[in-house]
Amino acid sequence: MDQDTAQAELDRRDFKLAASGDRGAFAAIYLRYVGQVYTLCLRLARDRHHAEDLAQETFLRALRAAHTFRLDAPLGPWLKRIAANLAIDWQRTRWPMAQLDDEDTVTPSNVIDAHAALDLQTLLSRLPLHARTVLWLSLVEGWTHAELAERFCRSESWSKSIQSRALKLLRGNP
Amino acid sequence: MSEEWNDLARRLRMLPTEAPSPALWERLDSAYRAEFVRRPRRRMVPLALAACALFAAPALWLLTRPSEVSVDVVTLRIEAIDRALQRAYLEGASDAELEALWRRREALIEARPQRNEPVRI
Repeated sequence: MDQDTAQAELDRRDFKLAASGDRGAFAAIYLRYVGQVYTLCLRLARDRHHAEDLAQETFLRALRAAHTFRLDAPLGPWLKRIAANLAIDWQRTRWPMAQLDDEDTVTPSNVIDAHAALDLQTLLSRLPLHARTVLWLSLVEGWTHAELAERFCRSESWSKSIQSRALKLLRGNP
Repeated sequence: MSEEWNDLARRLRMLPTEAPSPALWERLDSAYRAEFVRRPRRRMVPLALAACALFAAPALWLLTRPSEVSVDVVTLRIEAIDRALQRAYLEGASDAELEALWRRREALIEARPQRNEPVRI
């Protein structure tokens, strides 16, 4: 049994036990995945406090939906998908779609100076929230524009446009 | 463009994993215990009700049978505790509350007079 298979086996066992009230199993799942889940939430959230709210809700929703989890699927990507869906839904609720475009309008305050010797993490944090979300999910998590468009209830061209503008902002070239 | 995207994606993936504050686990654990750990006890409610009914049946029989005892005070108290237990299970009372009720019930059963020694009130 290779390491990945053993890990998946352990995840399945602990997740099933956690969903039925085994606190020790839940702690094991948390310790194994909180880094990945929280980091993703932080990329898609307004601040650390909001990221923790999203991470908490991610674990609880996963347990509530344990019966829908495919036992042959890896747990980590499933948890991250739940976290991303929650973050997007929160953004849509917080900012009605009409405001999303306004927020993405480039203003002097969100133009990033590429010559300012800022690290990538800082540059990323200065992007408008939904631009950062689209950029991160498409480039790092492998979401397609179709998936992003569906979740944001927008068109694929909207997603592509946001991604393109995010790159321009990162370059300091709005 | 594609090369630039690939380079950016690679650099983004290399960003460090972040750690939440310890408070996250405390909050989450608390929510988890409230929602998932108590659930097995809720599943036990039907069993608890059945157990109460089982205990209550002899008490009712004692009360309703033609007897030399007009009112068995201890039995009435046991019956009251049975009702309290039933309510406690339904309302999800704490283990300590449940245990206290069960102890009082056991004490009353032990103290119950023999059937040939009617209680006079």
